[in-house]
Formats: sequence, structure tokens, C-alpha cells
Amino acid sequence: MNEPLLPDAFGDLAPFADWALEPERARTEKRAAASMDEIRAFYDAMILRIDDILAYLEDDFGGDMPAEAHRLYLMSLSLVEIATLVEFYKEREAVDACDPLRYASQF
Amino acid sequence: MRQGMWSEKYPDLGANPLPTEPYISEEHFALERERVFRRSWLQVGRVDEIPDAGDYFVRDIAICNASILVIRGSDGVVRGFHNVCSHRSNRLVADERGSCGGALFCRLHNWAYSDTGELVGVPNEENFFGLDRRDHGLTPVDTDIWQGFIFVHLAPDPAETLRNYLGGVADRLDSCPFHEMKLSQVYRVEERANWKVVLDAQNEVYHLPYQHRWTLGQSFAKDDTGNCYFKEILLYDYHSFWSCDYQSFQKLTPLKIALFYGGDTAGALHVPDMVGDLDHYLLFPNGILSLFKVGRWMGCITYMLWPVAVDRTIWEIRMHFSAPATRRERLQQEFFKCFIRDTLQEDTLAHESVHAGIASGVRSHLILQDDELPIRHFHKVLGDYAGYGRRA
Ligand code: FES
Ligand SMILES: [Fe+2]
Repeated sequence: MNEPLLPDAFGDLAPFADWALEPERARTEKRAAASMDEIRAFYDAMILRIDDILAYLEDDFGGDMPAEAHRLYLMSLSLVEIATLVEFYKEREAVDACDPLRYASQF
Repeated sequence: MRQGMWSEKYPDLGANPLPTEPYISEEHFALERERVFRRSWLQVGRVDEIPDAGDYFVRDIAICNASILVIRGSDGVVRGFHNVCSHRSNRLVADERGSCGGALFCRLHNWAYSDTGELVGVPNEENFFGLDRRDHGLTPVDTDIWQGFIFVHLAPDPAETLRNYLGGVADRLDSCPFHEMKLSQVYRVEERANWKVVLDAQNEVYHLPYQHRWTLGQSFAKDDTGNCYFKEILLYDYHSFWSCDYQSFQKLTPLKIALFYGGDTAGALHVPDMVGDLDHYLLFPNGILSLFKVGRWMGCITYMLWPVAVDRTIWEIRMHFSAPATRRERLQQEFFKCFIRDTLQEDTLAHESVHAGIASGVRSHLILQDDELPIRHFHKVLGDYAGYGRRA
């Protein structure tokens, strides 16, 4: 059976479905490996749809989120993961911090 | 007029600079080991990490060469033991956390212990010499719980109870709904810095608008000189407290607007008696507990600083959030978690940079201003406790 990658209304975000990652560590690694252009392209696509995404995710899906909705949810977590870089630092060069991969996370 | 106001409130702390020697000297580190870490209540984790009988975690307290096993017994009681087998002292549990089905087995000769610490099985037992199992259960460590936080004390007979030790801090936080919060993330990073360098950096807000200019520095209230300030400082026998407010005009970004300015905020969690938007407790010697409230949920971040050597520290950052009612709230929590994490990674870089500067020996003292008074208080307590100047 051919399952949809993302919920129908969000098919336009399919090129970014590789950001649907868990746990947090996987999103951090993706952020560390991506170029700033890739990060910005993902941010731009997601932020345009964020209100619709949040409204869509308010649904409780009868207690069991289908795979395509879960993927969209994980992409939203990735949007949060990269947000500091885009909205606050703006440039990677501005980041004056230790290597983020030094932080081992438990969950 | 803020100038000098905290020193006026707490004149006994004086205004002297702090010597750099305790940050780099092995002698001071040894005194801290014997007189502070071996004689203090140390927070090691939360009860919700081990909800069921047989659940356990192991906490290494490297400065004391100790490994502590914290386990919930089949009687529901949380106990602490030295993670050392009673037979020939093998480290009993090798993993950091887990769940045992009623008994723990030593991998070396298969001695078995119940989840309440009794010795319950010895292979070839008849071949020992009058071995009485009752005398050889796991070696207990004094363990007590306050508000779901588990503390251990390595001294054989702790001089004071956990409750006395926490004193006014416990009085302030007794009704805080910690039980509503769940451990959501733990970050652990090993830093090339003395543990006090790490603690100092988390005990003032002077650096926020400068070091964290791109991140958290834009979040907290500033005075007319552009500096962050304390709304309150309270000092206790060992511990200390300070508080800050958020800036009334937050830097808004598209994601923050989407996450925080939509949705329902009715039914907010009631958090009694917070002084500011961020309430920050230093639990002497090596813990920090900070509380903040966002919309209808609250967050608690705790830090534990585990000295490994005079110039090595494991910094453990633990984030606890009350249960999110919606996925929007879950994403709000993710936002705080990532934003704070990114900010703390700036701190990690700075801790190592400060430690390197101190270790170069160029400056014999650190200079402190009025808004760095909590640092002064911590070092006063530590100096009294460790008796740096005193002979053993
Ligand atoms: S050392 Fe543990 S059973 Fe021998
Ligand atoms: Fe900081």
C-alpha cells in the first residue's frame, strides 16, 4: 500500500521530510551537518505553514497519530531545533558556543 | 538607585576580590573532597526516574571515588547503596539505569541481592566460613527525598537531616508543584574547567546582555544602564536565591509568535510564591534549581556539577516540564529547551575559556561587582566549610 509521506494538506513540504527525525540527538546532528542555505530553505518552507501545522496538530487523532501526521510533528520539532540559528544568530559565524555534539542527551 | 544596594543589604560579605588559587590548586580540591562533597547532601536524581519496583539508576560521584546505586524496592521505598559487591568489591551494576526483576546479580561470582539490598544468593555458600547473609547486604548510603528530589550523603552519620540542610529553601518551595513535572531531557557535557568556574557563571546575570547577546541576553529585564539585574537576593546558611523578570518587550520572531500567541491559556498551573519570572536557587555545594513559568505550564531546570578533577567537571543539565496539554504546548517546551540548550553551549565555551585564563596564573584575584554578590556568598560558604586556611 502506498502511504502518503505527509498529510494531504501539507504535500508541498514533502521535499523536507528528511527533517522528520527522532530523538532530539538526530535533529541536532542534522542541524550540525546541514548548510545554512539548507537550514534556511527548510525554515522558510515550514514557517509559512506553521499556523496551519499547529492547528492540524491540535487534533488528538483518536489517541493514535497516523505516521504521516507524526512525520509532520517531528518536522515541527526540527523547525524548533534550527530556530535559534535562523531567528537569533542569523549566521553560523555568529555562534560563539561549544560544539553542540558535545552535549550528550538522554531522551 | 541600584548602586551597591546588595552589598548594603549584606554588608558582612565585604567587597574583597576572590583569590584564584582555589580554582586550580590540588590541595583545595582535596579539601573540597573531604570536607564538602563527603559531608554534604548531594542531589542525585528524581523519584519519577524510578517509578516501579526494581527500577534503578547509578550516579558516579567521581570526586569521592563513589558510585551510588539508587533503587526502588518491592516495598516501594527508594534506597541508596554503594554500588559495590559485598564479596570482593566488584562494581555491582555496570549500566547507568535499568530495571531488575526483583534481584541484582554480581557478574563476577553471581552473588544476588534483593531490590531492598539484602544478600539473597551465594553460589557454593557452604564453602565459605560461617558466612551470615544478614551481615553482607549492600552497603547503604544515607538517602532522603524532598519534593521528589533524591539526595544522598556519603558521611557515615550525617551531621544534619536533609530538611535542616535545605532550611529556608525547602520552606519556600514546599508547595511548588514539582510532582506535576516530568524529566524531559538530560544533557551531559564534560568540561575542561574547575567546577566552581561553572557554578560562578550560572550564579550571576551580569554576563547575559554581553556573552549571550544573540540568545538569552535579550530575554531578561534591564535597567536604564542596559544591564540585567536581580529583583531579589536571599541568602541562607548554605544556599542562596536570586530572581529576575523577563523583559516586558520580548524580541518577537515568527516562530515565537506562532507558538506563544495562539491557542488557549486558560487553566494555568498555579505556582505559589514565585518572586520573579525566573527564580534561581543554588543548593550548596553543587546544585542549581531554577523555575520559570510560561503560559499554563511551568519548567524547572536543575544543574548538577560533578567535579572529576581540579580542571574537569561534568555538567549535567536536567529539564523538567509540567505535562503539556496540547502539541502546541509540547512545541513551546521544545522551544525553551532548545533555546536554553543553545545558550548554555555558549556558557560551556566560556567556562573553558575562563578556566584557561585562571590556570595561566596571570591574575591572582577575580574582581566582583555588587551584582555578582551571589558568587561572593557561595565562596564565603565554601571557604568556611572547606576551611581552606585550616589544618585538617
Ligand atoms: S565480587 Fe561480586 S560476587 Fe564476587
Ligand atoms: Fe550564561
